[in-house]
Amino acid sequence: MKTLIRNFCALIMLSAAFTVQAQTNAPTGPVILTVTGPDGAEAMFDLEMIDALDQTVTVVETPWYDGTQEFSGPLISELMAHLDVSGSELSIVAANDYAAAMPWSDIENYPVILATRHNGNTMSLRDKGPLFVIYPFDTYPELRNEVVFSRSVWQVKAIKVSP
Amino acid sequence: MRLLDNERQMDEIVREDAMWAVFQTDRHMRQFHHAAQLLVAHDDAELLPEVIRIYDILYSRVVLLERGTFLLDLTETHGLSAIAHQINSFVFGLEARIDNLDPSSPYLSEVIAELAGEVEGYKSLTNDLVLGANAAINQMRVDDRTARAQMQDQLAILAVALVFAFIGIFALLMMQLRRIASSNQHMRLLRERSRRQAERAQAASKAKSAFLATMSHEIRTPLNGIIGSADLLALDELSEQPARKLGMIRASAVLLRDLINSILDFSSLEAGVFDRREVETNLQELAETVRAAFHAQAVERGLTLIVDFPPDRIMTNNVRLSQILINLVGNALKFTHEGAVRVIAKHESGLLRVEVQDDGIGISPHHQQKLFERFTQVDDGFAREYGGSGLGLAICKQIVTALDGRIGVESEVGVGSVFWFEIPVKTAPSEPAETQDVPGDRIAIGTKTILVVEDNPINADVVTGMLGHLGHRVMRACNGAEGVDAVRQFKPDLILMDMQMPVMDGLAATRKIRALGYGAPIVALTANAFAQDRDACIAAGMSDFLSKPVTLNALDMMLKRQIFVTTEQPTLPPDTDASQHPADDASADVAALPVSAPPVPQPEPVEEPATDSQQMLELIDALGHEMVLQLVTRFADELKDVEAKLCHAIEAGNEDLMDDLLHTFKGAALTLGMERSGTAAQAMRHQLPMSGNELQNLIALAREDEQQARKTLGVIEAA
Repeated sequence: MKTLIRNFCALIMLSAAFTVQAQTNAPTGPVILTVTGPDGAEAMFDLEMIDALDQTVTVVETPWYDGTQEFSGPLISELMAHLDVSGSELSIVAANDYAAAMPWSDIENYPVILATRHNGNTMSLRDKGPLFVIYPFDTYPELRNEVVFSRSVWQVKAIKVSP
Repeated sequence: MRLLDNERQMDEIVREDAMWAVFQTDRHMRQFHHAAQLLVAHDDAELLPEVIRIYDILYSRVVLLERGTFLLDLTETHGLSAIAHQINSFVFGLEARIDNLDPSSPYLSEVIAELAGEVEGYKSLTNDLVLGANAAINQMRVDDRTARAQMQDQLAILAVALVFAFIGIFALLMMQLRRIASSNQHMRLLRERSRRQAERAQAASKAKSAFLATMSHEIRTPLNGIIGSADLLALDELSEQPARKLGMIRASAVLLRDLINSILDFSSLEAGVFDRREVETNLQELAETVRAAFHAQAVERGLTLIVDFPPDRIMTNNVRLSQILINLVGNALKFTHEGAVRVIAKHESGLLRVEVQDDGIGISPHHQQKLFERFTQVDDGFAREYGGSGLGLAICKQIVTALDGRIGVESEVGVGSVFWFEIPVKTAPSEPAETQDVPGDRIAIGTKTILVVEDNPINADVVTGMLGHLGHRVMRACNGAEGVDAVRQFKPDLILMDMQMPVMDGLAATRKIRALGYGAPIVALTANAFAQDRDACIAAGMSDFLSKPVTLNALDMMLKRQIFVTTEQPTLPPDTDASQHPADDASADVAALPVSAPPVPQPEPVEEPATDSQQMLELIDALGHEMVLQLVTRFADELKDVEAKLCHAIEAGNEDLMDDLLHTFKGAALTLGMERSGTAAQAMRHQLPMSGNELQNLIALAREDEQQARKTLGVIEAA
């Protein structure tokens, strides 16, 4: 079963039409994020690759922690630009298979980050890591509602882009 | 505030999220249990990472559990929080054991089986938590709904209260509107009333003006006759007694004229008509005028008159200043029996103060207060003893006030009085230019042709007589239209123009004559003393005025002034030739009357009947016996016609026609000296409409007057 999947993946990676792969180095560490393009192509990221992107720091108060917290990581829009991918909607998938739909406009209109660090430290699964979608709730008060909180997914493991 | 809001909002979100968290916890607990059982069942160490992964997820979940359930926990026992706390403690308590699991350990399955057993117990606990949280959420929903219902009730009450408040406000507004409307109505009524009152007041004011104008004209015209005739008569050689009587007539007439002048003057001052022209005035010259005017009177009364003015030149309204001085000095002389009258002027820093001090009878403080009111004299007895209208000081006060000054009196009975006034004056800018030599008696102007335009035959006769006496040729026209024609034909050297005339009045005629290009002087003969009338004369193109009644001296001075000033010969455009206006010539009753000698007939020693009209006697003098008899006969003939026309007017109720007829009748009657019927007709004009009775009375009166006139004529004829 596992080998079958691996073979399938390799097959896709080798495909000439796989544009995402062309721009991305292969992950050397454990894969923490898989991005699926609108054409079904996948890109895998380890922490090092994500850290290589431009980092953004967001200091914000959230429902899940007491007081303001500092988060840092790449903008999701930056990540998408890096992969040269665009679509109408992003589906953010968590480790417990929780998934939330995020309109593309969110990452165009707001600096939404895929946080890799919380107060400067990486996050384990127990600490809602390894990746946490953080909206700038404090800078844009209109984001402070249940719908946007539900998009602020923690324990992120994959992003799927719908055409 | 904002922070507090954020926190509360956050709490609410967490609470809403709590149910989800509870469900997720229960789910992850079951997954954990299942994964553990799976590992035990297969005894496969490779499933261990999955067990650990699910534990990690469970771990991350329970961190939030306690906080969320605390907010869900509404009961006082905090049952949910306690359960959550238990679950928390259990999951955190597993942390060390999970971390220490060794996949290579042969006892792994046993350890995991033991773990699954423990989880089994907590599985029911998370289930309890789900049920409890669900019940709490339901309770909260119920509470929320109740609160919302309460709020709705409150809102409904508020809405009702608001509606009532609106109704109240609306009612108040309506009341206010009604009150405004009623007060508007009231205001409208008041406005209407005050408008009517203003109209009445204006009508009264107009009536007063009209009355004054009539007074001016009607009284000055006969006065003109009296004074003029007296002047002419004085030219003849009279024996002592008639000369003295003539002097008395003239003096009385002049007194009457002055009285009328002062009444008119006061009225014009009161009406706010005030000529503000300031001219350069030499105070020394003014002092000389005062001295000259009162020297004779002072000498006659054995009084010393001292006039002490500084040698300054000032800018002021010198006519009005003289008027005040003449009034005050005249008063002082009148009320002083012995001693002196001192007139002292001081001119300091733009203020001229004049004091008139006398050693007269003095005025008590009580009377001093009322002194400057009009028609006031210190005592009614004074009027008999000293004469006067009681207007002099009132006029002085009006003038001084109009000149922005003050006037006052200090007096002690038996010691004397000091009348003083102060007016602001400006110092004259420079030395006067060479004054033009005013033509005096010595200047001869030769024989001139003068056109007299005057509708009143008596006035025309008098002026004609005077002009003849002064050696001039006279032409006459009896209204403005005829005057214009006469100018076209004869090009007179000067025109004397009456103001009020039928067909065309003096102003219209003057404008027309000036429009013809006539450049020689036109002098107004006016009984109207108001300044605006004079302005109207100037505006129409007149050169000077001669106030009625005309005196020989005034006429002579005016002629010399005008003829001397005017070097320009009267010129007419060449096309205004007489032959071009044959129709006008026919209608114009114009005749050149070369007069070589005074036309005044020798006075005849007549025994005057008490009822004989002075006017009639003058008429006989001026026109001759025969002519007057013809006029009286014509008047008697026309009387029938007037009666018939008036009768018709009374039947038709046509007041305008009545007024016209009465006016015509009055003019004819007064011209012939029929004062009783003339005055009666004038009186009826003010009480229109007239009745048939009044008409009969008027006709009867006219018949009597006619008889009286014939009698006078007969008497003269007999003599």
